[in-house]
Amino acid sequence: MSTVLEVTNVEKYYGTKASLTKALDNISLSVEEGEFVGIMGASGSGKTTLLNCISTIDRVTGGGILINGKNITDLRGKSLNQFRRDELGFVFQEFNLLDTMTAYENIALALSIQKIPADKIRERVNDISKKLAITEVLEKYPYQMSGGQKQRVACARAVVTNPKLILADEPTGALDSKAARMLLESFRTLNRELSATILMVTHDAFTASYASRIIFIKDGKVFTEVKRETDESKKAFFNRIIQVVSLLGGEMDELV
Amino acid sequence: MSLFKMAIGNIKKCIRDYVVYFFTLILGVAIFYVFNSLGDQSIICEMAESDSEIIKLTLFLLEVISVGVAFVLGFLILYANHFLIRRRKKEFGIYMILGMGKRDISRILISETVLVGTVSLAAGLLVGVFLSQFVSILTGKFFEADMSIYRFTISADAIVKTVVNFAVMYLIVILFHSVIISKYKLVDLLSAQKKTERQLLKNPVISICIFLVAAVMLFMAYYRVGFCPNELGRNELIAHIISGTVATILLFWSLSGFLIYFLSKQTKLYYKNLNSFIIRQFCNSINTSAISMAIICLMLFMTICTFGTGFSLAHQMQENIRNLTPVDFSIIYDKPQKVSEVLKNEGLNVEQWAEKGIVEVPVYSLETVTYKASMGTAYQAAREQFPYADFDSMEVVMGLSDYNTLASLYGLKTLSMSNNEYMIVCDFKLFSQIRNEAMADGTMINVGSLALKPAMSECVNGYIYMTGTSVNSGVVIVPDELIDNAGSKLKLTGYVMAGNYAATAKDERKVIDEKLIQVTEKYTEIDYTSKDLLISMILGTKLSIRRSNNGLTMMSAFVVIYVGVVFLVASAALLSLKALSESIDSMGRYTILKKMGSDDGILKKALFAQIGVYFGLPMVVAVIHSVIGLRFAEYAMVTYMKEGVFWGVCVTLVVMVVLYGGYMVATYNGSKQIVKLDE
Repeated sequence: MSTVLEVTNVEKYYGTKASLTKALDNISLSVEEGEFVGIMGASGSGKTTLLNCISTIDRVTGGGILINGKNITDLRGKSLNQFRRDELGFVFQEFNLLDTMTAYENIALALSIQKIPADKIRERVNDISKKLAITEVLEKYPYQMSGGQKQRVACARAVVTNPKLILADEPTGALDSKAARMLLESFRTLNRELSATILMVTHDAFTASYASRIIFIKDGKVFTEVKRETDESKKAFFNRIIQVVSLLGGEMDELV
Repeated sequence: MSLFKMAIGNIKKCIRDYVVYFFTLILGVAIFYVFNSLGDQSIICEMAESDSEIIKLTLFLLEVISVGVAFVLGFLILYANHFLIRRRKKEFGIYMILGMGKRDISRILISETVLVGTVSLAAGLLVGVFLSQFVSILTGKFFEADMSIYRFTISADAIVKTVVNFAVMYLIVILFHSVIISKYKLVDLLSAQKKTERQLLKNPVISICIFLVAAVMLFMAYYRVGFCPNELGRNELIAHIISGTVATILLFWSLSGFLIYFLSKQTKLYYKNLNSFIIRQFCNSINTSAISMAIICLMLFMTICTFGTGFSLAHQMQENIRNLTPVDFSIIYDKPQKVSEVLKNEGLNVEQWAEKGIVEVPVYSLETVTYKASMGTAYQAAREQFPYADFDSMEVVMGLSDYNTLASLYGLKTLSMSNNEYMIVCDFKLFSQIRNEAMADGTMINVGSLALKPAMSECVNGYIYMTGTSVNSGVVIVPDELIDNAGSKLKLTGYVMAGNYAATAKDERKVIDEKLIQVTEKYTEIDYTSKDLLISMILGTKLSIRRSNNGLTMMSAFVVIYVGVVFLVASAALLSLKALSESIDSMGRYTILKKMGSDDGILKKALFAQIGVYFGLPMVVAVIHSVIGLRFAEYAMVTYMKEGVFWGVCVTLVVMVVLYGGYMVATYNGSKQIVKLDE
């Protein structure tokens, strides 16, 4: 298995010399192909900054990020946009669907942006919709869908382009528990059947328990890492996560 | 921080929203000032002295129009404010949460309005003062006025009028604000942004049906008004205008459903690049603003038609007048006495004041040569077109060499024909059409025992005495032999005299003009017993015709520019404000696209396409409407516009591109800033 993501000694500073905030403090981690990795941490721990840096939305102060062997910190302008649309897929907390377009069109747009020929679009959209069980909402507009459906459409839009890496930022944050479970099942399906590589940021232990490995971040550094054993039950894995969370202390306690 | 300081801060913050509004206000004030100050401009004062009636009428008309303009601008300002304030609900909500009362919020808004109002009023007046100099110089040049009397003029009257007018408007805005603020509820203010606007999804079948109905209605109206205007009665015309208006509204209402239905079927096109996004984006906009787009479209249509016909009319009048006044004076006298004798009796011996080469020729009439007779087969058609004209009255008849003498003096084409032929000289377009038909048919006329046939298949363009317009309904030219032949029974009815003054100095010529006018007035008796209401002496002088024509031209030009520019600015500003608020709504969408990896270049193109179509669509529909409207105008004003509306359309296009295009570019730039594509 090859390494999809390699983060080495990444630093991200905010503010002036007088009052410097180290959002990311010499952090290093890596994600293998086909892995489903969760990143947990309290608010202010730097997890969103990390995700933004990986997703090329934000720039690092120092260090390197290699995606599929390519150092993305060197990319600028057009090649950066191209990289983002060809290699990455995004799922956001607020769905970020275009409200003027139907579910189908939303998913198809990701392919149009990649300049995929129009005749190949339908097949690919239909395929992914079946896997994520959203075939019946394809002709609906976002405001006609439930939150869970919206998030699965967003998910379909993120993976339909076959990205190297799917980045999910609090994907269950705006969902009720049932919808959250359905979405996470979808993630697992994508991970297992399409061997999609997923990096998910969350502060919710239940959501995190769907991942195969969890990296805990505190004060911009890797605090610890928990890996799910091959025969470990989800319940047991969840309990181990909770233990780490209580070790982390602080705000995380309240959020469990 | 005082409330006033907050107001200044607010304006600075949302300067990008205010740019279009501010610019429109300044333009509105400037235009208002310019047209209200015309009466005080030195050059126009001078022109008014020489031809007071028509210019007084013009100034009066401009004043009346100003009332209408004030209403349009007032509406625009209210609408713009309605827009700007709606977008700030959340801001007001936060103020209220922080403990500010509604009264304080109102005060902030009042300060803002006063500030914006004062600055725009001052700037507008400044622009207006300079613009009005430019307008009066241009007017003077165009009408060949005496430029030496030009002075830099500031009209205190107009300033007072403008200030009062706009102050009242701003006052209404302030009242409007306070009413709105007092109705706000805190919970609504805070959740204002969360409320996603529900799209009124239209059933595609209904959309298509309505679209087709609208299209059919429009085509019917187009066909009737544009292609067979002569069959159109007054009531039918009004019916078509109403149905056209309704159809336009229905068209815009149904367009989004219709477009989506067909375009989304064109998979290749629809799923290429951001096309699906752009089309959706646009359909969403017309969906939410169909009615206002239709109204803007109709306003643009009216603008184009007013500009087009108005400018053509003005241009044509200037052009015509040069051709229609080749000599200093012409007199036609409907009594069998020479004009020169009459003038001599009045102490105006021709030899004393006129240049050599004065022409004086007789005109005749004949029982057998009536309009009815000379129109032959075309008589029925003529009857239908002019139901009230008296076709039994006798035509004016003139000998060939007499006409040729007159024609060479006027610089018109001289004629030649054989002894058994006749010709008709006519420059009244509606009449010449009928006469051409009759002559092509070979209609014969009887003079004494002789039957004459037409020398040509159409009549000759020309006239025998000068009037301001081409209204010579026809003069029959017969061979010279018939004039001298007693057997032809021609009756001498009068004389035409024409020529130039000996004097070259402007003042002297004016004096002669005046004397001639006095004589004509004395000899003009209106004969009410005759069916024709015969006016026995008609004088036309170069000076008086050109002068009254200048007045008319100026009047139509000013009225057209005033109304046209105000309408154009109002509709462009409305569109711009709508498009900007549309861009604010789509801010999030562009962010999503950016996150999905779209290049800025492509997004800019998408935004440009979106705004381009937003401005373009009402314009395209308006232009199509106008093609028909102008065709009708051309028909209705055929008497005045031989060359059609081409010239006017050219000027209209230039004005449109500058003003409308300017608003479009400003909107695009503003939108780029809003969706953060301006780096």
